[in-house]
Amino acid sequence: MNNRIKELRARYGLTQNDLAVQVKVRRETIVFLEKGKYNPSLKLAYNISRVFESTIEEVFVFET
Amino acid sequence: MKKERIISLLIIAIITIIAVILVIFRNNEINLDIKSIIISIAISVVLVFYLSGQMRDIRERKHGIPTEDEMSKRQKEIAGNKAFKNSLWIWLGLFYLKSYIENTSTLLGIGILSSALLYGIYLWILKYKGTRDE
Repeated sequence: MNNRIKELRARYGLTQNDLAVQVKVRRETIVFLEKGKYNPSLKLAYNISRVFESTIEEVFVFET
Repeated sequence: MKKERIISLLIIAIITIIAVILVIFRNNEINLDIKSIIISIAISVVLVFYLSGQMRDIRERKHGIPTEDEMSKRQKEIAGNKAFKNSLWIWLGLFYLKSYIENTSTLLGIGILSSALLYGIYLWILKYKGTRDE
């Protein structure tokens, strides 16, 4: 699963730490998400999408 | 090397040196063998990592950073599962090699240390590689 977190973060002017604080995870989790090394839980995916005012499908791209 | 690890290393080194000096003054002789030195070093290394981890957690808690989240819990869960499964093979091997090992405490020590080491290795691999493919 790929994602647009880095792109959206830049658009909203958020650092990795800012996003981590907003969704209540460690900064390392955001780093791993952006690198594609971790698949988030549904709850985390939803919280991240809410920060970017988008749907989950707009932030996370599911590979088929 | 991270700051916490350096500080922990210094603390352990100072304590070890003081302990060795006290032992020497008490016994008035040096009587160390290779096995004791290896065990002391292994324990010191474990203590360094443990202390540096604790100091990092304390500092992060002060800044309101969560010390654990879903990813770190998942990493520990997967590392624990893999370490447990593979340590069973180690215990089986030790069982077959028991005639070559001097006493039960040594056998148990090797088994426990190997299991702990296995967990540490798997955790380190997951922290580097991530859990995407797990």
